[in-house]
Amino acid sequence: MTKKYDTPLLDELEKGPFPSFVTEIKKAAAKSAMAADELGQLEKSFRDKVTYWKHGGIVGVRGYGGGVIGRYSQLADKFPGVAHFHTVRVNQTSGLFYTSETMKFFCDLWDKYGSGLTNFHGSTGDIILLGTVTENLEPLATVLSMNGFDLGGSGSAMRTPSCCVGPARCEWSMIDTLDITYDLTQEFQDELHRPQFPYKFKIKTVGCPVDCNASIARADLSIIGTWKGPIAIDQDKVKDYAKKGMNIQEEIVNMCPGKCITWDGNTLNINNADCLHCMHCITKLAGALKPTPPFGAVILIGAKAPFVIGATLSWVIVPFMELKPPYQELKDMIRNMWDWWNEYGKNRERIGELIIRRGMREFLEVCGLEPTPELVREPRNDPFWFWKEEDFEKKPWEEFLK
Amino acid sequence: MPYVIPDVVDVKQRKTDIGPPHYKNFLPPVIQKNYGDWKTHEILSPGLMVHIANSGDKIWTVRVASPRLLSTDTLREIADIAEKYCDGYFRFTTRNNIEFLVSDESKVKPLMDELADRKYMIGGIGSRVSNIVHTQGWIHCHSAAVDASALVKVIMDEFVDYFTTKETPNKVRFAVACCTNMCGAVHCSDIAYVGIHRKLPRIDHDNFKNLCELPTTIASCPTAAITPDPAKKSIKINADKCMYCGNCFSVCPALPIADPENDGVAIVVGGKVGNLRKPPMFSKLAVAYLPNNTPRWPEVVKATKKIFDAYVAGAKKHERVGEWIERIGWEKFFAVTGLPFTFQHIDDWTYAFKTFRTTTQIKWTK
Amino acid sequence: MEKEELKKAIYQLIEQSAGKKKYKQADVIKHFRQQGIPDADTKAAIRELIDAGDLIYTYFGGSYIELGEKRKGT
Repeated sequence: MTKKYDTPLLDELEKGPFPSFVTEIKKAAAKSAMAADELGQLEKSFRDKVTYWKHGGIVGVRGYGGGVIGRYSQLADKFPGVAHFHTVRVNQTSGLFYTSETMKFFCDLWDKYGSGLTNFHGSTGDIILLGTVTENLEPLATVLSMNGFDLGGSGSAMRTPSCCVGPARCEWSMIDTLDITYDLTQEFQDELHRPQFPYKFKIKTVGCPVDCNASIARADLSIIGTWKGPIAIDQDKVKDYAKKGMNIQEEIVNMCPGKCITWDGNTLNINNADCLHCMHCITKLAGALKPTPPFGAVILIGAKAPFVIGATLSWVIVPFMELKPPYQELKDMIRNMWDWWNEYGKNRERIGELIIRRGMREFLEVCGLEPTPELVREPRNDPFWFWKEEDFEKKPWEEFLK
Repeated sequence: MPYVIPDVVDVKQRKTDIGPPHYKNFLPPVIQKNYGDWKTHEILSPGLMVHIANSGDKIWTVRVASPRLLSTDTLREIADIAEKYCDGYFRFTTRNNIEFLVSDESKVKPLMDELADRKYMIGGIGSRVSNIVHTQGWIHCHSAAVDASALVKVIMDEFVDYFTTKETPNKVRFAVACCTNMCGAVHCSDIAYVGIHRKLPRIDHDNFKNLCELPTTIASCPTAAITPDPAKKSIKINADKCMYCGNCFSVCPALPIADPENDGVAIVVGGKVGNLRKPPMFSKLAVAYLPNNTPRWPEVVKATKKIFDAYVAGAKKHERVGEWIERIGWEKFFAVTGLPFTFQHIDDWTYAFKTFRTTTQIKWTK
Repeated sequence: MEKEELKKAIYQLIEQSAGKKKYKQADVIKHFRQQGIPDADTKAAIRELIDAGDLIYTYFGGSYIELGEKRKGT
C-alpha cells in the first residue's frame, strides 16, 4: 500500500471531459511510492503556487554525458519518494510508431525501475520516463540496450533528431523523413551521447512546407521537403470539390500567395513559374493536386526559443538539396558547421547566435555555400558592408556586362 | 523481437551508441508495402481518416487525445486496444495524440465504439483544435512559473467541442510553456501561454561563489543587468534593466526568482509554423499577465475564450489566427476581443523599433 | 605525447582547475592543440577517461568535463 494524500486542488483537475493527468498520477500512485509522493508534492505546489524541484544534479550513466536529467525534491523530508526523481530520455523511433509488444516492454521496464509515469513524448521527441533513483540508471540503460534501445540527448549535445510521419503515411512527403532521421541519428551517435558543443543542437526533418514537426521554429537545423516540378492537376477532381461546395475562387485562387492560379469555373490553371511552393492549394484540394519531382529539401539554420537574443526562425542556407542515402553532402555540411561552432562558440551560444555574432558570410563560407537571392527576404538596407581581400579580385560586373 | 528484462542485470553487458531500433520494425504491413507511395487521404469524421495508396490499399487512423503524462496502466490499456483492433500497431502524433492504425475496415467502427465506451476522446483531425503541446511545469521542473498540465487540462475542457465535433476556420494550435525558457517552443503558436515572473531574482550572496560561475551568469542576461560585486564575491542586478526572464537562475541556483504572489501567465497569439499562404509567424503579446489561480486558472480560460470566439466569428475560411489578426489589424484585434492594451504590449527590448508603427494607415475602432 | 601521458595531462588539467574554471570538451581540445596535440588524439583520450569513469560530463546550464568523483559525491 502506498501513501495516500488528500488532494482537494488536484481533484478539481479530474473533473471535465479532457483526459486528466491527475488521474494518471493517481493510477501510478496506487502502485508506486514515488508516484504517490509526486502527487503529494504537486498538491503542495498547487496550494503554494510554486515549484518544489531543485536545480539539476549530476547523474548519468557511464560513458555518456546525456540522456538522464537529474532531479531532486526540495521537500525530500516530507516526500521521500521523490527525493530523487530523475528523468530518463529514450531515443524514440522515427515517426513515433509502436507495436503493443514494445509498449508493454516499456511498461514492464518502468514499473520495475521507475515511478510508472511517462511522457509520450517530450518536446524534442524522446520517450520520457519520469522519476527514478540514481542506482537504477545503469541497470535501466543496460536493459534498454539489450532490447535494442538507447538513450536520447541532453545538455550541450546534438539532441535526439525527430521528424514528421513522412512517407510512412502521408502523400505529401517529398523526402524520406524517417530514414533521414534514423540515418543522421546513427551517424552522429558520439555527438548525441557526449556533449561536446557550446550548447544544444536540434535537427528536425519534415516532408513538406506544412511542417508538421515545427522544424522551422524549433530546430537549429531544419530540413524541409519541397519540390521543383509543376503541380499536377486532376481537373475532374477539382470539379468534384467545386460541386461539393468549395468556393474555388475564394478559397484557392484568392488565397494563393503567388497569385498564380486561375479558375474559370471549369478548369484550374497554375502558372508554376510564380508558385511559392506553400502547399495551400495542394492541402485544400487533397487528391486533386500534387507536387511532382524533382524532390528535395530546403535546408535552414538557427531556430531557437527566446534566450538570449530573442526567438528566431530558421534561415534558408540551401534553397534546394537533393536528399538521397547516404546523405553525404548533408553530413559533410553538418560536420563543417559543428567544427566552426566548436571553434568560436561561447558556452550556451546556439549556432544561430554565433551566426549573428560572426556574420552569415563566414558561416556560408565554412559550409561551402554560395550567396544567392533565395537566402534573404530582401537585400540589406544599410549603406556599409565588409570587403575582403579576395573580393577585390572578383569582378562580377564584367560577366554581367558582356 | 521478444523483449527481455532479466531479474539480475549485469551492467557490463550494456552496449553503447546503438541508437534507436530501425523504424521499419514498427510499421504495420500495409504501411511497409505502400511506404512513400500514398495517393491521397480523406477525413471521414473529426477523429477518423483514411489514407489511400496508389496500389489501392487503405489504412484507417483513429485519433484520440492524451494528457501526454501517462501511467503504465493506461499505456498497457492502449496497447491492448491496439492488439484487439490494429494487430498491435499504433503511433503518437507530434502533438501527443494517440493514433490507432487500422488495416481492416471492419474493425474501425468496433474500435471507435470501444474507445467511446472507455471514455477516450476521439477527434482532433482537420480544421479544429488539436491537443496542446506543453512543458513539464510543477510536475517535474525547477524553473516553472506556472503548471503546464493543468493549463492544458482547463483549456481543453473549455474547447472540447472543437476537438470532437465543431470546426474552426483553420487549425487552432495551442501551446504551453511554463517559463520563458520555452522548452515547448510556444513562440509560433496560434494561442500560447507562457509562465512569467514579475520581480527581481533574489541574490543569495553567501552561496553565489559556491554554486555559480561569474562569466556564465553575466552572459546569461539578455539585458546586461548583471554586473560583478567583487566585495561580496557575487553579483549585482540593475533593477532598471532586469526584465525578470529567469535565464540567470537557469545557470545559477543562487538567484531564485520564483514568487508565488507575482508569478503568472502571459498569453501570446497569432504564430504559426507552416508555410501555407503566409510565411511562418511569431506569436505576439495579447495579455501581459494573469494570476496563478490554482487549480483551474479561470481568468486564463476566460481571456482565451474571448480571443477564440472573436477568431471563430471574424476569420475567413482557412485563415489562421495570425492571418486573421493581420488582415483586421491589431487595433481591431484589441477592440473586438476587449483585451486591454497596456505599456507591456509596446516592445522595449533589443529591436523594439521594428514593431513601432511607421505609417498613417490606421483603422479607427472607437 | 603518448596516449597514457596525454590522458594523465588531461586529468591533471581538470583536477587542477576544479572549483576555479570549468572546461568544456572543446576547451580541453584547444588547450592541448596549443601544445601541438592533434584534436583527434585529445578527443580519443577524453573518451577513454570518460569511459573509465575518471572524468565525467556534468551539466550546469551547459555541459562540462569534471572529475569522476563528483558524481559519487552527490
